[in-house]
Amino acid sequence: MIPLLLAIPTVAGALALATREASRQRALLLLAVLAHFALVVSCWYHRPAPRFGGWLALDELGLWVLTITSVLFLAATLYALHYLPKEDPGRRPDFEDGTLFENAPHAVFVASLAFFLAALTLVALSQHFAVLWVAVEATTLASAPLIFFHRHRRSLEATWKYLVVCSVGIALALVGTFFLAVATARQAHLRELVLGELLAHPAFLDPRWLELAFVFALVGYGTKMGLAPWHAWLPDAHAEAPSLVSALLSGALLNAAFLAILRFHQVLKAAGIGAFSQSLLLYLGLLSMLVAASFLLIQVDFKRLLAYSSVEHMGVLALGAGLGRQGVFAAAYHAWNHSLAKAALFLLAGNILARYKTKAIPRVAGLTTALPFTGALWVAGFLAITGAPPFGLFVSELAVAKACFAAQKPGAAAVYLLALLLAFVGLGKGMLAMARGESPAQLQSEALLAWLPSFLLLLVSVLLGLLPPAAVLDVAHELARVVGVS
Amino acid sequence: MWESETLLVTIVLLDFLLLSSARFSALVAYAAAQGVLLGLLVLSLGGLFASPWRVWLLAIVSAWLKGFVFPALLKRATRDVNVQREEKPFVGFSASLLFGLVLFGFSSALANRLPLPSPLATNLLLSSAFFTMLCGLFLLTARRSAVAHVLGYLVLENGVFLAGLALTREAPLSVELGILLDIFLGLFIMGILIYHIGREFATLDTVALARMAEEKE
Repeated sequence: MIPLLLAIPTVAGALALATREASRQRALLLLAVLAHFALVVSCWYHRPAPRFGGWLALDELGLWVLTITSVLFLAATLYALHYLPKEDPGRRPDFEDGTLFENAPHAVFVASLAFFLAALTLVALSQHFAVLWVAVEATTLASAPLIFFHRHRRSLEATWKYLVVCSVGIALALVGTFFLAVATARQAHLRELVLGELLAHPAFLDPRWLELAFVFALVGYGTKMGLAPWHAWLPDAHAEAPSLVSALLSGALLNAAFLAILRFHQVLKAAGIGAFSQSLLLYLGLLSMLVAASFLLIQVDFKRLLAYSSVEHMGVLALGAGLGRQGVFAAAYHAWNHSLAKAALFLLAGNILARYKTKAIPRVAGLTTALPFTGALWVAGFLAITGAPPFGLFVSELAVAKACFAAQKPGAAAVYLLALLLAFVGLGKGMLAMARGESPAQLQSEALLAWLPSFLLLLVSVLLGLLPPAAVLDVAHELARVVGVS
Repeated sequence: MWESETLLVTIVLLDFLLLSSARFSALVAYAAAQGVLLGLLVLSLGGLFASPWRVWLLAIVSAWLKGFVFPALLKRATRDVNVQREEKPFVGFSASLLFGLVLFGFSSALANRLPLPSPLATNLLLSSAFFTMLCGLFLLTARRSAVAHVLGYLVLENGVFLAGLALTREAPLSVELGILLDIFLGLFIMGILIYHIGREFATLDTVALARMAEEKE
């Protein structure tokens, strides 16, 4: 099972590179993503056995992130079936600055998507800290060509920034991994950096080196996760990547980086110094929320608006993880809801961009009449992402607030609620203004695949809010028990 | 062990040269020299490793990649650009040198404070690792050109390599990871090639790129 999960997207990517016809490449991707999704669903019924000497295994945390990833890839691939054939392969003027540009080859884009899925799957499966590091690095490599799909100046700059900032982060995370190795040095039989080994022998871990390891891992993987103050790459990459890629970056990649941080947190927890990593996560979470909220208030670009909202929600996740078991449960739930709503919104943003040929909020008006489905879903998405009922985010944001009080941190709760309020104002100001007003003259019909993926994602978000399945709650509780410091 | 100390001192001196040079060709040469020295360092520390063929393989591969492949790639990437030196860095070259001294003091103090984990780790090895990493980070933040940023990343990565040698007992783990990071860097530099071939910009000054993007908004 585990080898298949990795092999399917990898092989599909390689085959896509070898295939000439664009439609066949897309069919390959769709098949791979469907097979991957089916495998992930089967993992919920029958958990696969660990492989490669325990280096790869699927625990609750991994299953959680893997499922989000697989669902989002399914939605993004459906969207791509409509989006990619529309993309003109030739040179054409950029609508923002008029310079000519062309796209990266179709095969490269499709293959990179498949490799990106494989890399994210490896992140979710890896139990060995070195493998984890390699996997996170692989996500950077696989996603950089995706951001650089439209080969114009701005995406070039965004890709450059993404590579430089994330590579430096990755290098620091490697140092953190070395420090973790040092922390195990007191005991000769702890040869491998396998999570289970480390958790089973906490007494042999040197707390001083562990703390240092966590700090470096937090900075390194935190960069990838988009936590402030290391979020510089995130708005640019999300704004310039094709919208379906932005959806995957925001909904899948950021969670995968968070998983890497939580793996280190697990080790610290086992060694009895979980309070240290917890407090760091708490403060970083609050900082990210405040920084993002202030940028949300002044944003005039709707894709950047969504990107800063991701920084804010990553702050919520970090805060939740910093609040102990109850907080981890809320954060896990929140990760699901955020990914669903944000991916839906990014896909819709792609439709808006295609219709209005601008990312500037003031130049988009009358969305609900110009693009009825997209417009209605955009407003629904706004409600979902700001945590209005009946969407799942309402439940999980409330749960994080409760966890703040349960952990006796009323100050954190106050900052958290303030940031949520500011974000609500910022997002509302931008997103609702786009829905209202005079729509452009000629109406166009909307393709089913342009809005259906977003509709389905939001529908799942509502279901998670109203009647969460017992199996999902069980896994979330188990995850909270394993990761959260009670 | 004296020769490994000589190597480390040379690596530190090269860090200072990297901080104080403006010409891209000189920067590339210093980083390349550092790469070769790292390979030699692996050999010099090699007696403490378990299997000798692994030591040789690692030494040769790392010296070859860092000393020859990456510099060649970088040279090719910058061949057609008419600017061949760092103009107007955020922090001037003499100021950078002074800053380097501060960083060096900091690294030594840090290395002295930390408990030494393995027989390989000497204070000098650990402090050179920290110092080289900090120099890389400094180049990444204090310079404007994309070339200096790639070099900063290369130097940072050399520091990570040193840290790997200093911190892990048997080294296979750190070493294999280091090589992977190297491959990554190769791709990374290909990025700059694409960047350059794209010829969207007539300059490699990253500040100018950002400014250009802002004006369009």
